[in-house]
Amino acid sequence: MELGDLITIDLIEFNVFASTKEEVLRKVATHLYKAGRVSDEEAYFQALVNRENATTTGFGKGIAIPHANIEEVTLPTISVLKLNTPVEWDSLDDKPVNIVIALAVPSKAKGTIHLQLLAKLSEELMEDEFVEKLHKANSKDEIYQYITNVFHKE
Amino acid sequence: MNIVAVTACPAGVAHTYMAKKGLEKAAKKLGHTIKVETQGSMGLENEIKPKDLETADLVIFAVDTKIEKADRFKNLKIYEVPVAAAVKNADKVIEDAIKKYFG
Repeated sequence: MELGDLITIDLIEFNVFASTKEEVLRKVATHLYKAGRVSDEEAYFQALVNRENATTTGFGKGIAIPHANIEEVTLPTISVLKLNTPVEWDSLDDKPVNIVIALAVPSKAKGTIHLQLLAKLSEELMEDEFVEKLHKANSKDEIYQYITNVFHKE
Repeated sequence: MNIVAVTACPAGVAHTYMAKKGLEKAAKKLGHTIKVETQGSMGLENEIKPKDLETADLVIFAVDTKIEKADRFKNLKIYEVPVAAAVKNADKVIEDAIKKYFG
């Protein structure tokens, strides 16, 4: 597996309609199942919900990063959804979310290069400039570029 | 001030590293030095060593889980917050920690 496979253009979606956090998570699970990234849609969906119930992944600035590491994940994956209308996410700054960056990690992936890349991406999300770019992006290609650029950053 | 910190979350995929970045940025902004150890999916990284502890004025734990090798920090000034606090507002975490121990 190439590093770039962590995210592909097909894993980015624009104009996603959903009115609740749960609906968004369902869409993420269906999408990753159809893309062959998870072997069990329901298990992944439940893991995402459980993770949200532990503490919200809406870290502020209109972005949430729902994630799960379970056995039923086939390939480490980043998927990005831009929502048509912001959705309530109990975020740390109380603001609704309009960008969802969903992560799926196979439970046996511990310590791999892909996890390092996810860690890098997580750190980059603390940079306002990067967040701003994601909000302004209006094509799948732009989002893909911004995220893969992070992987190549020293 | 010399600060050492540990960040950790149950999944160890995202928040551990966001909290690390948050604390590093906040320390820089507030004029402190900080070393942040992450205990995440890649194990223990940037490990805090005895040498770091000799000069540490303050320890910050931004954690939602039990940390490994916690006994390293005994007898030091420890300020513990949930990992989300360091993601949301790391400036405040550092300021509150200093307030607690140094007034």
